[in-house]
Amino acid sequence: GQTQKMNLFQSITSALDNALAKDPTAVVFGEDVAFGGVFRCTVGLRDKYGKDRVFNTPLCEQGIVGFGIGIAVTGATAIAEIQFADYIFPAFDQIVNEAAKYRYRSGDLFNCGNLTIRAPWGCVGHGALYHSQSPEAFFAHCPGIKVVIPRSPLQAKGLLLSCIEDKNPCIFFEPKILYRAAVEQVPVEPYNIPLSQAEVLQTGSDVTMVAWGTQVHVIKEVAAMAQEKLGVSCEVIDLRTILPWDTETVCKSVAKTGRLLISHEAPLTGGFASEISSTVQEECFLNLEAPISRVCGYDTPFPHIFEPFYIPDKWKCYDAVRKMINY
Amino acid sequence: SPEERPQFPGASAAFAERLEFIQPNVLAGIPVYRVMDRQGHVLRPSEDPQVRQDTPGAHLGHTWHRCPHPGSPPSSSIHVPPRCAPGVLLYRGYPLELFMAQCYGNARDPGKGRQMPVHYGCRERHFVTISSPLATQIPQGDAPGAGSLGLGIWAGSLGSGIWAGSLGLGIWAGSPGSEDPGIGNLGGTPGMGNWDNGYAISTPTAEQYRGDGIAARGPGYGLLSIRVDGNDVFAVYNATREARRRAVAENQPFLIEAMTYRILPVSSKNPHFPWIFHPFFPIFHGFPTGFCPIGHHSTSDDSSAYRSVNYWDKQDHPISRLRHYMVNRGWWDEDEEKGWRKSSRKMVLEAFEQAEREPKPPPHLLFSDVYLEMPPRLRRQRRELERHLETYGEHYPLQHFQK
Repeated sequence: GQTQKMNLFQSITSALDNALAKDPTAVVFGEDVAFGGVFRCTVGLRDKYGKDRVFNTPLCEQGIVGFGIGIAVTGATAIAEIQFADYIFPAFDQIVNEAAKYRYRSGDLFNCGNLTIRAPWGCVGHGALYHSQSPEAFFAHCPGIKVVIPRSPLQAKGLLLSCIEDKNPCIFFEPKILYRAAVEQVPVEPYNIPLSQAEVLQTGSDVTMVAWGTQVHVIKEVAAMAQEKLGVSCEVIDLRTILPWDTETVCKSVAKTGRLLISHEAPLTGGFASEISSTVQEECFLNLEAPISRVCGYDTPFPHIFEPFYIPDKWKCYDAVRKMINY
Repeated sequence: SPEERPQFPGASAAFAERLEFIQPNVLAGIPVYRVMDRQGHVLRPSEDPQVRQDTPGAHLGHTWHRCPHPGSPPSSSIHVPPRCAPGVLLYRGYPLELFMAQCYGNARDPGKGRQMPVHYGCRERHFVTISSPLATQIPQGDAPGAGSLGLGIWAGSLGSGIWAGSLGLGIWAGSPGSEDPGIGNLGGTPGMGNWDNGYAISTPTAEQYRGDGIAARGPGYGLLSIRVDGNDVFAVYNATREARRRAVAENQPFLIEAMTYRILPVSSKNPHFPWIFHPFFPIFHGFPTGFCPIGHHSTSDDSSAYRSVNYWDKQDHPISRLRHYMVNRGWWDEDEEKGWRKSSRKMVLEAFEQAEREPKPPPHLLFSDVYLEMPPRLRRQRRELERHLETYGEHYPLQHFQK
């Protein structure tokens, strides 16, 4: 169908626009969404759909999510925005103890599957402790919710629409550094990208590399460097859904290549790479040619001035590939 | 029979035999205490704190980065500040150089370059380092027993001074826990200042809650409360001074809601600019947001999309009001204004440039202070970075950092 050049925040707006148009029960709410949002993701929606469907909330994350759960339980579609993933923690109890357990604890009498929570995520160059976090690992530990992270505008729209339509509560993290920077031709009409399906971006034979969000672009570059400098062929996988994650695609790839590198900005210890690494060594133990490598943020809060040294950049990833090949 | 009273635990009221609901806005809005009118004239002489001209800064610790500050608590009290309200620190004599150092994250920053700009802290001046999350300071400022230490934890500052609804009570019955955990119940003697600027970024208070602002919640918590004109230096000073005196003497907490507006006098074209560093009137503005137009929440905010600043800047600016007062008394005039404007601009620009030139702290400081002692795993990560930089150092901005 018809496509339009969109950056990441515009593709989000487009998805929300589609959702509000298609689903008369859908509402979009959060801090400052009415005027368009601090990242412009909701520009124009209130004018188009009215103040009863696009509205501001007080500054209270626990309330935003709790309110969203309430709406979802009545059967309406709730699309909540948390202004920064770093500030999602006051809502942690609502997400983990309420949203995630609603269906299970009621024996499927009730559910809040119509809830989607969106939040800007990841490093942005100057965000420091409270505007850079990648908290997916906290939520990965919680059965009952889905966690999804897109790498681009095209992916974001399809994945967000799938989250909104999915009958389980979903958290959708949006890489804020890509809001303006990433631009693609994106279909104007709605479309879906399936959840819990990883995507192989490029095939390769020597090393499997797995990442999500912004970091996918880093490992893509590393794959090119490895090919050029080391003659190493890398298979690049975007995990896309953190929970429930696509073990099959990743294990199938590692069974082929024998080497796995996982990379994320979030700190190493307890980061989601740990879960992937653990599962892969269970499933692919005899296929492995080298220990699984994790290139992640350090075990510190996210620093301000030291960001260039903190992040798992292409040089660290490249070096890890080099070591794995030479193991 | 002897008068029957309810026997419920915690209830000390009498019975009522007529069905009647309590009106929420009983006082038709709690009145706003002020001392001066907008032209700087003291309305009632009894309320004039009679600040002397020769005690610069001694009594007035106002800043207008985003909001006014109460006449500063004495340096002996611990201040737990919200984001964007560093006036107390400036008032306590924190040097310009160190404000700039934090903003630039250079090697002089006592905070070691860890945080985004404007997240200051100073142990010597009892100013707890600012953090970005909002309203987290509320329960923290509630620390028990401080009164007995002779300190008084002043200003468990309602953290989100600039966000009126950020106490998180909003339209829901519960709070996010930021305000509820027994404000004042824990035995401490906090003084709480909330600077109600009418907005949470773009969301006006009318869209956040139905009640009469923050002051109206005080009685619900059993707090002595007052609403003051936050643009009136003396009103805030009087209220703060009295609240603190009584908080310590009576060992009970106080709540002050200072009404104001988000003003950011950073533009050198703005007539209020020269007041930024007058010793009599310490004011801070948002350095890292640079010289941007008045009043945006941050560099990514365009507040013209949702409010008009012109009225506030022209009609009721807190600095203007104080200036009128000073001019009325012959303590200030146009020549002094010009001179100060010139010298303050020079000071600030010099400090800017100096801070920009300073190197950043050494990268190994990335790893310290996570815990008091560095765990082995983290030490190993530090070594890994060192080794990584030996090979790949050319790809990193090492020339800007100390060794």
